[in-house]
Amino acid sequence: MTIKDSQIMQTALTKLFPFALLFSIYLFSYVGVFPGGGFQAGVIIGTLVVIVEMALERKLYSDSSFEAAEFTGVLILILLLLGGIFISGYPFGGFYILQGTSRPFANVMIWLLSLAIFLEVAGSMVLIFRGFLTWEHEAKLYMLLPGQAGTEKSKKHDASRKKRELSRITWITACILTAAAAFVLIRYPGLESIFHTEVDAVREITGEFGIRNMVSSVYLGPRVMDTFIEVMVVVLTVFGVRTVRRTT
Amino acid sequence: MSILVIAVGVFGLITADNLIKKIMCLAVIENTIILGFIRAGFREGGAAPILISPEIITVDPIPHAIMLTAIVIGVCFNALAVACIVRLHQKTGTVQISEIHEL
Repeated sequence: MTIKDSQIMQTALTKLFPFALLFSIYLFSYVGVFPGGGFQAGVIIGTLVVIVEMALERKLYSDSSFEAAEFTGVLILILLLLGGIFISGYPFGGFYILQGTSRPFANVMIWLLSLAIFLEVAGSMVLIFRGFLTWEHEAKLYMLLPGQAGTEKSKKHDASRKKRELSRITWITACILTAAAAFVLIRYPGLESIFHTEVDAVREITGEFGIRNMVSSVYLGPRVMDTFIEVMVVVLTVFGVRTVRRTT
Repeated sequence: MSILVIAVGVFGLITADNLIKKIMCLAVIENTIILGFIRAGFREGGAAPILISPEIITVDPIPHAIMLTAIVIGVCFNALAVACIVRLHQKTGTVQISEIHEL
């Protein structure tokens, strides 16, 4: 029996699909005002596509359309980066640099950043999932059939004997390293003092621009370079998964 | 408390023989760190970081935003690790480290 035959999957999918789509659009469109943002909306859209593809056992759209979405996101980010440098001298224009500008400008900036993250995350979720399948054979092999562990008995016996010899050294090493890790972490100073200093500045500027969602506004402010690096890591991961799977 | 869970993850990471279990241990450590950071951003009596009115006391939004990034990086890391394991399984037919050593 495959996922395609499952009555639960089929009914849940047909009933759930429009609502999940609507929820994703809602999360994305009220980026600066209500809870939500580009990241969450992108994850929902991406997993929705993955679930539909699992249920139908075929590709919804071609790989190139998702690649296009991904690279549009990267392109928007790079344009914002260069535009920010050109206009204000800082990458992305910066949240603290926006103080002299208008409220609509800040809101458009945060919406564009979220759009970039949305396209990036939605595209890469689907592409990473597809990176694990060379669709025709492996869809059935990895997802739709129960696992068939096929190791020989004699090999297993030898391995377990060797494992028993090694186990005592491994356990002692593990205990020592665990204790060392715990000791270092206990002595580490509390994180509380690090964060609460920055929040008041974020809050002040957030209030000034009418952006209610402070988590979204952090993306435009102190952590904007983190967002950029994150997107680059995601792009590299998609390449990495594909390269690993294609090498023979 | 979170240090205990991290210690459990480190211990499992060293002693586990199965590569999938090693990745699960890494995921435990990663999620514990995420929880720890969100705990660090908490303020006594703080609301969710949505400014409905100016005088409302909220929790710190910066750790939340950093951890959203960390979740994405974690997904990428897990995907890449699992891809390597799938490749290894194609090559050797096993995911047990002790068996791979013998080949």
